Amino acid sequence: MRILMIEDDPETASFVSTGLRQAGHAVDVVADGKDGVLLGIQEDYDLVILDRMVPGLDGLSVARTLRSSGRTVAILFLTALGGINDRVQGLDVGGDDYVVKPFAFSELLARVNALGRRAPIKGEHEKLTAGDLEMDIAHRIVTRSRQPINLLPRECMLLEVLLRNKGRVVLRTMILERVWGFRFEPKTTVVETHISRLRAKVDKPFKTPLIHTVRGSGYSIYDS
Amino acid sequence: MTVDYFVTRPQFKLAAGVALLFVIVSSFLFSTFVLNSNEEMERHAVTRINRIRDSLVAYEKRWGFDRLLQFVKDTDAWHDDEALISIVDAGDRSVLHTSSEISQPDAWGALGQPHQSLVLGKGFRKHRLFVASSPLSQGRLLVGQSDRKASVYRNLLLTSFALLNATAMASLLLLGMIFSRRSRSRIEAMKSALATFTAGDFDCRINFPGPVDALYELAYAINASLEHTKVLVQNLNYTSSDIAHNLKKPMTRLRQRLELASNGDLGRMEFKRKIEGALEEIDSLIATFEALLNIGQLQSGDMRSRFVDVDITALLTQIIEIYEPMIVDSGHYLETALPAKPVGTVRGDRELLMEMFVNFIENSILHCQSGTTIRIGLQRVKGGINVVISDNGPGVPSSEVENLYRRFYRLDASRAKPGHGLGVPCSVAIAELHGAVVEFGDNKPGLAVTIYFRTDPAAETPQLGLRMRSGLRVVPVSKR
Repeated sequence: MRILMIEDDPETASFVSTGLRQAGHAVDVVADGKDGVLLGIQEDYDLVILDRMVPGLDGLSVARTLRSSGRTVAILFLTALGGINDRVQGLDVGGDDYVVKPFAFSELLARVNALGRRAPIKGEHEKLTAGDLEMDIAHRIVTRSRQPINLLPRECMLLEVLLRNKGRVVLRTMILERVWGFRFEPKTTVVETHISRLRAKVDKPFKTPLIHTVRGSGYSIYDS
Repeated sequence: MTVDYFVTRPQFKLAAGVALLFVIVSSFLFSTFVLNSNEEMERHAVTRINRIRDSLVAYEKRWGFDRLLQFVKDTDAWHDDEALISIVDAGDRSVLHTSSEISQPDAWGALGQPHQSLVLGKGFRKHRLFVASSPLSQGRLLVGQSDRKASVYRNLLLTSFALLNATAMASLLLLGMIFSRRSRSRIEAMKSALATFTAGDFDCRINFPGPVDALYELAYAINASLEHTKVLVQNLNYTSSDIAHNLKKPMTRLRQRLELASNGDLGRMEFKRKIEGALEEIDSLIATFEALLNIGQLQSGDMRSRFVDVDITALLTQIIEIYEPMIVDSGHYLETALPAKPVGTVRGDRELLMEMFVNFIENSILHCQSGTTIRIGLQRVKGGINVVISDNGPGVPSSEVENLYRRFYRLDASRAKPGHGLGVPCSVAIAELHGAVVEFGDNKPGLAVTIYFRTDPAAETPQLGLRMRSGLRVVPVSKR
């Protein structure tokens, strides 16, 4: 992916850009909001990683300007402003994701990958697959080895999130946000419980497991 | 208190202004009345003397000069009607003069005055004499008419008016002084109380007796604000010491782990474990600060501008759907009591309300042993909506209930279970952001958490005390 990072703290910028480059991404770094807007409009990036408190033009204005100029590039806020209201503001101006500093690089990488691989909805007959598992998005029909699997609506949404990020790690926090709309970290193992129930329907009756646990991070589904 | 003291008071200035306005307006009206009455009296007098003069001239023409003299002498009505008859012969010698008040030459002299009138008397008895003359066969006739009686009445009226004005002015100024003094003393009481409060006596309140006026209302509002400020300051103090106290332990652990990791004798795997442990401690500290920041932001009330109507029945149904597997898999039982029809909506933030309900449900899951029944109920009550999340677990001793509202407070003293002791304060802050009240009750056995959303502002909060963010009850200091 081609990534533009707008970050004025050289240490953070170096830490993140080095990690992303090692993960195979091309990263441009600017420290000024105005420079970021110019570059974001001129160049064709897949993702903009944006700090909210940058000199020149603040992060919210940068995002707003990029959106008003017609740019549909994915925007990920990476900021110390982690209040509920701050997050909502970030998403309101067109941000696609919000990561609060301090952060674990593994989480940032997972979110960057998820944003980069956002599959556009192709229409009513879109089908998502992993191995012999098939999901008809429009009709919410799931089959594996051509056998129908009865899933509850929330289980369907959980499976869809995994399938849309096939081959990549889906963090627990991403599941919480995208499946249930939780903006907080629950104290219980509610995600694990639902994954376990999903596995019981999707994996257990079959020989090859498709849903895999990524220790300490989340889950991943891929063609085994 | 000096005159200057009152003169500079706004209340006194207002009263003086009103009094002055009253005097100006009433003087204008009275002057208009006096001018009109003077003209009317003059017109009346002139008409009368002309009529008398014409009658006497006609009488003289018919009966002769001597009979006229006799007629005038025999008639006493001139005196009662304040009329004057004066006759001189052809040589201007006096023949007859009926008035003792004014001499004949003076009376005849009035003919040369403006309006053919003279001012007689002094002070209160001052009045005017109007005259008119006519030639006779053997001399001249002068008829006069005085407005003495009418003048007396007019002067009486003028005196009454002056007295009325003086009384009104004095009364208004006196009232101004009384109100000024009371307002001043009340303002001084407020200044004094606020200064004492600012100096650090957080129990000081404005206190004065007397009738309810705008300043009393203001004092009442200030007292409520001072009470709120006191609670916030106390919270700040508690929070600061709580933060310091609660962060010391994880910081100590973090230091120990890093110190151990810095020991060169550790193997690679052990070193990695120590570093990972240190990272976990840091993540836990970050989570604590995030939770504190969130509570602060919730308490600021900024998020109210984003509120929408949230269907509370649908929200609870969704939460139950998410948590039913969790409750069942953890060995608990779930009981729900949601009405068949939606109970209505509350103004709020859907995600925050979800966080609040989930927090209370998760507390029941985490703090109750296997086999406990967790009940989620929703009902419409008078003036609002009640959500009750209860269990038949160990419950909370009544002596500990107030502590639940405190930040970092944990019933589990061993701290064996996960958490930072910020879940309940965060949920209470969410409830307060939504104007809701959280109450912890005895479920006999177990704990019952009632979240009351007031949907009808006119209705009183039933059975539930108004709570501030600390969980302390608010008692109005000044009661009417």
